[in-house]
Amino acid sequence: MATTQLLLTGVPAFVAAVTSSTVIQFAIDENDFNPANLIAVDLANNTSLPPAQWANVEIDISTVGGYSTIGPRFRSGAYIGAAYIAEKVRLKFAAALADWPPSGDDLYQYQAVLRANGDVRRFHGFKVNVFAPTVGTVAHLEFIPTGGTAGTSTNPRRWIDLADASVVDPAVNGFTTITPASPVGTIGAVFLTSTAMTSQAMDRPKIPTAFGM
Amino acid sequence: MPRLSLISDSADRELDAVRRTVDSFDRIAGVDALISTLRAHALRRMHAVTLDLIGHSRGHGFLVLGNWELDDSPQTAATFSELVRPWLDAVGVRELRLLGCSTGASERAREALRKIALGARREVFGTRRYVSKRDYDGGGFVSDDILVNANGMAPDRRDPVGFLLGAATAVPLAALDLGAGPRLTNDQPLVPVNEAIATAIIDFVDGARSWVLPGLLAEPNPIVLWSEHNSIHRLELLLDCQVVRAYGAYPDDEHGRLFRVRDPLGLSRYLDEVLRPRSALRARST
Repeated sequence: MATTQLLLTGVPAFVAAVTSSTVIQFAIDENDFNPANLIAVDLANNTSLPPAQWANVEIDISTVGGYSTIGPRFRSGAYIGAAYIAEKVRLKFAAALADWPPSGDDLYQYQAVLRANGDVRRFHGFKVNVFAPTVGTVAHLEFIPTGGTAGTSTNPRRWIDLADASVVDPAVNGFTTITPASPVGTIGAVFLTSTAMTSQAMDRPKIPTAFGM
Repeated sequence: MPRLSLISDSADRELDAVRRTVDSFDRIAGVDALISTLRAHALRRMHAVTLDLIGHSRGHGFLVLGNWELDDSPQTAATFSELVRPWLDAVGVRELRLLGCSTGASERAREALRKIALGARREVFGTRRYVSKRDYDGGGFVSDDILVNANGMAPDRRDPVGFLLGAATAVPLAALDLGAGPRLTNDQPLVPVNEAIATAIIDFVDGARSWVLPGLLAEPNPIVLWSEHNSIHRLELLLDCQVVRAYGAYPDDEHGRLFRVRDPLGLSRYLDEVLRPRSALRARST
């Protein structure tokens, strides 16, 4: 079966206009009232569509398993939260997203990958620092939270087997940049599976801190 | 009240013990299984007022059903509003009870109750202490006294009448030589019926035990009258058909004897069918 994948980027969402129960426009800054900066999506075109129709996806689902938290239907849905938008939406509204991600953060920290290959697997990006020499394929990684810096004592550290596809999306897929060959002090991306995020207790809020996932 | 008991599909001794105790239940492996189970019950025209979701709690007191943690996230609330609620409507569920340990004890747990209630648009209750198989019998969960809502408050009394079994007397309806009771006036909602209808009404009544409550502040509506053995019989329907009052010959029957109605909704519907003018009577009495 052919592999299909979706790249989603998480942004803050402050819903500014509701055109129908699922068609909305939102700003990523609660103080930005410039209509030119509104991002339009149809929440019905979400990741619950079968992989064959992923070309139509605009945003991730807001129900269990998804990363978006706005809506999912208006006017009863949430007006403030996170929106994980598809790559085509991110590119279409690049001007409105010029200031995203915040300074110091990398875009992959806000990105998720959905990959369909028989089943659908979810991955989310994390910024890590190789903390100690890697033993075989098992790396000791310092996870740098959004807005954080390497070397902070509160940053969580985990031993991660970079060769275990049930934990990490392999580097060959193009999203994870840390490999067993990465020397100590390398800062880069690892994309963890959704199950690993739970087991490693890495599914902490990302955006916005108070309202996001 | 009819209810559905759905038990988490986790394999462990504690839940096995609950599963051995409850006579009828469905196993739930996650949100998809919950929806398909509700759909199956709806298609069978099953009706349930109460939906009991039974499983372990995790972390702050979030119920876990199979692989689904019912936490306080927006996604959980949205799942209830988008995916679960239509099937709750179809089955007729009015309240959800999250039956794990202390699912209503912490602030985060009560926030989950609040968000699920908003999503499901129903009352949602958690528990304020640990739960074990001793809180169940064959019919399901029995420890209603430990339930709390999102505000930490106990649910409204399920039994609006509030008759305590301990206060019941053993005098059955069959033992009463029914009479006409206190003086009747034309401004009361009197409904004369024949013996067949009177018998049908009495069939709705749990006549095994009775209560005597002098000073009960409830107006009868209607007062059913019929003639039998050359005497007038009287039965007063109170509290939206949940209770009837009969007057007999017992020494303490000056205030009448109260009996519970087994199926108030059924009795109300029956009266609507056979006593069309009842609505007019109600209007006149108000």
